[in-house]
Amino acid sequence: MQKRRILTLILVVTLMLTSLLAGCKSNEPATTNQPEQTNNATENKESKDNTIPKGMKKVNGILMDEEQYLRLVEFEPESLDTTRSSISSAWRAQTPLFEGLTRVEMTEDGVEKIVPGMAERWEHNEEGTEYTFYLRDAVWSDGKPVRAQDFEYAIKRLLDPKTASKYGWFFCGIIKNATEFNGGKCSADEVGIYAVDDKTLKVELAKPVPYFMQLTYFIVFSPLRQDIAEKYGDSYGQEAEHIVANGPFILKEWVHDNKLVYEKNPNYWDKEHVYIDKMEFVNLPDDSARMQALLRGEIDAAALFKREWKEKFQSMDGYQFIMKPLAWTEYIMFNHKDRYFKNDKIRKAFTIAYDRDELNDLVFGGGRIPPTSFVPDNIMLGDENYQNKIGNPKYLKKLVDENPDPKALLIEGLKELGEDPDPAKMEISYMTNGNGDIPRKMAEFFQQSFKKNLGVDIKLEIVASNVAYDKFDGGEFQIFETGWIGDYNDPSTFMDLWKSGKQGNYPQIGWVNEEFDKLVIEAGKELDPNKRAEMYKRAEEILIYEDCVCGPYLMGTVNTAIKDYVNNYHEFSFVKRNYVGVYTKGRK
Amino acid sequence: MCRFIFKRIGYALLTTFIIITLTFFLIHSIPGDPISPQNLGKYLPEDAVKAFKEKHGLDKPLIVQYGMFLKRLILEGDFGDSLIYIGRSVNKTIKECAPTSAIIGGQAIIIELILGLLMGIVAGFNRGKWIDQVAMVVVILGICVPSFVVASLLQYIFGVKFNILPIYGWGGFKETILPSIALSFFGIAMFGKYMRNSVLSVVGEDYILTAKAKGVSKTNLIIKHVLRNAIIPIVTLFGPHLMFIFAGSFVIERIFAVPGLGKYYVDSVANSDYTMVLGLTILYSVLFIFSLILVDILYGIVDPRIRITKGDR
Repeated sequence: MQKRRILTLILVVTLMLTSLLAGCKSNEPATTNQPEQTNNATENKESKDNTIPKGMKKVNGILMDEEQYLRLVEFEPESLDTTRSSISSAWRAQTPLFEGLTRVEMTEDGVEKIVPGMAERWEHNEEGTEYTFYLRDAVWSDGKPVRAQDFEYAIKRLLDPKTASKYGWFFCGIIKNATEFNGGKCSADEVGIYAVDDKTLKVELAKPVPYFMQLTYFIVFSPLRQDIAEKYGDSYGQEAEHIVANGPFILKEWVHDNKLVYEKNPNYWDKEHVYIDKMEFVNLPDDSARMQALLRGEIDAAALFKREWKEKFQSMDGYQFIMKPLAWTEYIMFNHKDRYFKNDKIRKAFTIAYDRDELNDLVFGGGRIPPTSFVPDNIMLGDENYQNKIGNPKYLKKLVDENPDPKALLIEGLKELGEDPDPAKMEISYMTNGNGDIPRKMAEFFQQSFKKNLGVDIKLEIVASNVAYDKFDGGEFQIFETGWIGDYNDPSTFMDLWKSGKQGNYPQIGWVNEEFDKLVIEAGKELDPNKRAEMYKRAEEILIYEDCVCGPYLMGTVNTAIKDYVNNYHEFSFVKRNYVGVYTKGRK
Repeated sequence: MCRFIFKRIGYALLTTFIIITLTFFLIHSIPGDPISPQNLGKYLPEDAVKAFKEKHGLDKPLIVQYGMFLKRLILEGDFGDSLIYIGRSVNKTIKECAPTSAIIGGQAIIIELILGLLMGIVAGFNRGKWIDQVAMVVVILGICVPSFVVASLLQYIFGVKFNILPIYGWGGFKETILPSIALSFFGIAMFGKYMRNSVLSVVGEDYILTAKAKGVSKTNLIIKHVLRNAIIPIVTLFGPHLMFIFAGSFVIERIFAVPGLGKYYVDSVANSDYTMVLGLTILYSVLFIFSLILVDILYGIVDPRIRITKGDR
C-alpha cells in the first residue's frame, strides 16, 4: 500500500514536472526555431547548443547570421591618403583600410585599451625618448610584407614640406628633427624615425613624450607603401584602385559622393576575428533622409542630431543607443587686450552669467554635455581618467558656485578699471562663428542671458566663419566662440593650445601667463603620471578658475542609434572605429 | 543665320572671359583660404601654411596666379586640382558629377514642360472654371512651397508610407524618380502660370477671331494659331531656367543623396576651394550663355517674324 502511494506520488510529480517542462518549452520555439522538442530537460538543452538555426553560423564559438554585412553612413572623404588628410570624415573612411602600430579595443567595462596592431611588441628607453617597435609578419592586401620602411616613408612623407600636408605639424616637437624637416631646415635623413631592418622600427623623440603610445594608433601614423604612393603621384588616394590596404578591409569600389564599398581583407593578420564580409559606407548628408533610411532598415546605424529623432529611437524596440562624450570642448573667447575684458572679474562675470543646462537644452536639444571644467571628462592620463585622478576639482562649477551674483562681480570689475559701474552702459559685441541656425540661436541665448543676469545689452555680430576668423586673427573682437577637438588621449592636446604667444594656438587673445607656460611645457615631458596630473591640475586652475581665459559652454558628444542585431559596435574617443569583432546576429 | 551664330559665339567667349576674370578676383578677395581655421577647425603653424601655399602657388601675387590659371586653362584645358579634396582634379569631378546632375535636371525639364504646358493650356482655355482654379492652386503651391519641403514629403509618402521607391542614393532609374519630381515642382508651376497667361492674351487677338470666322477647326486653331504664338514667352523663360535647374539642385541633391555637382558648387565657395569655384563657374557660365544662344535659334524656328538676321545674309 505504502509502496503504491509512493509510486503514485512519483508518477504525479513526474507528470507535473513534465507538464512544467512542456510549459517552458511552449515559450521556446519563437526564439530558437526548433521544430522538435523533447520532454527531457537535458536533451533539450543539448540540442539547443549543437543545432545551428537556419540562416546562422558559428564562428569562434559565437552564433551569428550566415550573411555578415554592414551598411553605415559616412560623408565623402576628402582623400584616402593618410598623410594628406585632416578631417574626421577622411579618417573614418581610412580606418577600415589601414592599421597602425597599435589598435584600440573596448574592454568589457568600457575602457579603451591599446593592443598590438602591426607591432607585435615594443619597448622604450628609461628616459622615454627612444621607442623600438617590432613588427609582426603581416602582409599588405597585394601580398607584399608590411615593413618598417613603410612606416618610415609615411611619416617622412607627412613631414615633408613638399607634401604640404595639413597634418604635418602633428609630429613636430615630438619626433626628433620633425619641426626642422617640416620647416625645410634639415634633410629627411635626420628625422628621428627609421627602419633598423624590415621588421624593426625605431623612433627617436625630441623630448620625453609621456603620451607617445597614444599617437601610435592615430590614423596619421599608418604605414604607406612608397611604390604605390609614387606610382599615382599627386592623385594618390582619390580612387579605389589606388588603395593597397593592411587593415581588416580592402576597398572594392568608391563612387564619389555616393558610396564606398569595402570587403574583408583576406590577407589581414587577424582575419579570424573579422566577421563582416562586406561593408558599405553610404553618403547620406541630409538628417531626415538618414533617419528614414534607418527606419526602413536600409542602414544599420546613424548619428543623430535632433532631439525628436533621438527620443523616437530611444522609445522604439530594435535599436541600441550610444551617447558618449567626445574629446571636444566649445568655449567663448575673450579679447584680453579689450578695454573691459582685460579685467578677470569681468571675464568671470560673463563666464558664469548663463545656465549651461539651459543652453544645452534650448540650442542643442539636450544632446550635448554641460561642462564643469575645461579638459573633457573622458580624457585619460596614462591608465587613469584624468579628471578622476586629480579628484574632479570642477573649476568651472567652483567658479559658478562661489559667485552667486555675477552682476555684483561685473560691477566690482568695472570699478577696478575705473569705468562707469553701470553695466547698462557697457558696449559689448559678440561675434558668432558662422551664420547658420545654431550660431544664431546661441547668440540670441547669450544676448538674453547677459541682459537678464548682468544687465548688459550686447550687440550681435552675425558673420560667416571665414569673416569671423579673419576678424579674430586681426584682434577685432570682444567675445567670440570657437572650440577644439582633441587629437590624442592626453590632457596635453587640450592644454598646449593656451601657451602664450606663438607657442600656443591663440596669440590673438593676448593672454600671457608664465606660470601656465612653464607648467604645461614641463608636464609635456614629465614621465611620472602623478606629477604630470598635479601640473595639469594647477594649469587648469589658472586657465579656468584664476584667469578665466575662456568660458567653456559645452562638451561634444557622439549620439548614435544602432540596430540591436549589430554586436560589438562601439564609439571610441579618438580612434574612429574598430571593426574587428563586430558581427550581426538576428538580422531579418 | 551662320554669321549670326558666329557673332553670338564671339560675344559668348568674351563674356566668359570677363566672368572668369571677375570670379577669379572676387573669390580671392573673400576672407579666409583653404587652410584657414574655418575649414580645419584649427590653426596651422606658419611653416605648414607656407608649405601649402607654395605647393599650390598661393604664395605668388594674385596677378601672377591669374596668369598661371589662364595659361593652364587655355593651353591644357585644365582647371587644376581641388584645394580641399587633395589630389582630385576639378575636370574629373565635373566629368563624373555633371552627367548625374544633368540626368536629374533633364528629367525634371521634361516633366515640367509636359505637365506645366498642359496645365497652362487647359487652364487658359477654361478660364474661370473649376479646372482653372485647381491649376492656380497648384501654381501657388509650386511657387511658394520650398523644394526641400516637397522633397521630404515625397520621401515620406513614396518611401516610408508606401515603400515603393528608394528615397536616397544613385544607381538605376528608380533612384532618379523622386529627385526629378521634387526638382520639377517649381518649374511646373512657373511654366503653367506663364503658359496660361500667354494663352489668354493670344486668345483675345484679332487673328484668332479671324481664324474662327474663317471656320478653322478647333484643334487646328489651338495648335496652329494659339500655341504657336503663345509659346514664345515660354522659350524666353526656357534658357535661364535650364541653367537654374542645373545649378539650383543643391538642396534636392543633398536630400536625396544624389552625387551631383550641386554640393561642390555651394561648398567650394564656403571652403574657398578656388580651383573648384572657378571650374564650376566657367562650366555654368558657358552653359548659360549657350542656352541663351539656343533660345535665340529656337525663336527663329518658332516665330518666323523674329528671323531678323535674314536680311543680313
